[in-house]
Amino acid sequence: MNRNFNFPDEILMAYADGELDEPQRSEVERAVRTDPAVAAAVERHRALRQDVFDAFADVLDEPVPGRLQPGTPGAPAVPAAPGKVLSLDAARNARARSAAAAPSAPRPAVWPRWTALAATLVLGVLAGSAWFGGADSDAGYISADANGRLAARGQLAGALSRQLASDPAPNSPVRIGVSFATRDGGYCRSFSVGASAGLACRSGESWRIPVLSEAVTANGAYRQASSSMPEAVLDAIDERIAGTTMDAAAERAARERGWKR
Amino acid sequence: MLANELAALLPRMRRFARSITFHREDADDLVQVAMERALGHSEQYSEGTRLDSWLFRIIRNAWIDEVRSRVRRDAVFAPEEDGEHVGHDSLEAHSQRLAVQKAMSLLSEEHRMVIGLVLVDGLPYKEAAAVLEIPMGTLTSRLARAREALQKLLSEERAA
Repeated sequence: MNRNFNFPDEILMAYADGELDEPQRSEVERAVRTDPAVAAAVERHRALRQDVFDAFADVLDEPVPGRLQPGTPGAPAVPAAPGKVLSLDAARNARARSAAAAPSAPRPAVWPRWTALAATLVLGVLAGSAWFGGADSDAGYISADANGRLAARGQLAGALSRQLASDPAPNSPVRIGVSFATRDGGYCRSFSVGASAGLACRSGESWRIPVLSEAVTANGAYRQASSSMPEAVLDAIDERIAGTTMDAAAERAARERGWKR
Repeated sequence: MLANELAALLPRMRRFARSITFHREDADDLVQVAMERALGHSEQYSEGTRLDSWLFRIIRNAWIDEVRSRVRRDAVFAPEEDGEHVGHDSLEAHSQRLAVQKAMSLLSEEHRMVIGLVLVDGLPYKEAAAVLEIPMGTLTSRLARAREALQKLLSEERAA
C-alpha cells in the first residue's frame, strides 16, 4: 500500500522538525524508507531549516553591544514611573528573593534597584487606585487583607458569582472573560473592568485575585499589541487551567453549585 | 537573578530580532526596547515558565506596537555586513546566507516571525505558538505556508 497520500505536507514538516509523536512518527519513518517522494519532501524541509538557521547563526558569536547589557551606562534601566501590571505572586517572590539576597555579597548595582521596585509595585500602584474606592464607599471593586492578598468585593464580587461569560450583562461594568476548572479542584474566571483585567479564583465564599493588570496606554508604556487579555492574565490562566475553558452549560451548572466542586 | 538571566539570553534575542528586522541597528534598537520593558515589568514574569518565551513575546509586541514604525525600510542589509564574512568561509556559503536573508526580508511579517522563532531560534512548536498567542493548529499551518513562500523566493532567486 502506498501511504504517501496519507501524509499532508504539514505532517512531513512536523516530522522534519522533530515535532511528531508516536505512532505518527514511526509511520512517517516507514514512508521515508519506502517512498522516495516522501523522503525528498522531508529532506527539503530539513535543508530549508538548516539554510535558514545558518543564515543567522553568526549573530550568536557577535559581541553584544554594551547598550543592551543591563547595568551598564545607557543600558536598559527600570523606568522612573513603573507600569501598572501587577502579579502579586511575582511581587511576593521578588520580595522573598531580595530578602534572601540581603545578607550575601554585594550585588551588581542594577539588581537592588529593581527588586525594590517590584516589591513596592503592588502597594504603590494600588494605594492611589480607584480599585479600592474609599473604605466607606461602595465604589471599590477590591479589598486587601493584612497579608496583601486581594479579594473581589462589591459589584465585582457580585458579577463574578452571578454573571455568565456566555450571557453578558449589559448594565454591569464587569465583563467576564473565560471560566475554567483549575488543576487544584477549584474555579477561576477572568474579568475586565474598564481598561483593567484580572483573574479571580473561588476561595471559600470569596473570590481571590491573584493577578490584576491595568492597561497602560501612555506613550512608550506597556500595552497589549493584539490580545484583549493582558499577558499576565493569560499566563496566570495557563498556570492554573485544567483542560479547556468551560462552555455555557458547564458555566451555568458551576454557578448553580455556588462555584463549589 | 532575573537581570543576569535576561543578559544571558541577549545573543538569542539579537538573532531573533535580526530575523525580523534585517538591519543590525534596528534589531538592536528592538532588543533594547524589549529589555527595558522586561526589566520594567519583571513582576509579569511567572517563575517556572520559560523566560525565553516570555522575552520573545515582549520582542514581538515591542516590534508590533513600537519599533516597526520607525525602522529604515530602504536598507535591507547594513553595508558593512556585505562581504564581512568572506575569508571566514567559502564565497558560496556566504552568498547562500545572503540569499536566505534577502528572501526572509521579502516575507510577510507573520511569516518572518514564525520562521524566526522555529527555524532560526529552534523553539518547539508549542512554545512558538505561545509566543505568538495562537493555537497549535494555526502555528503549524502558518509555518508550512511561510516555508513554502520562502522556498519559492529562494528558487526564484536561484533561477534569476
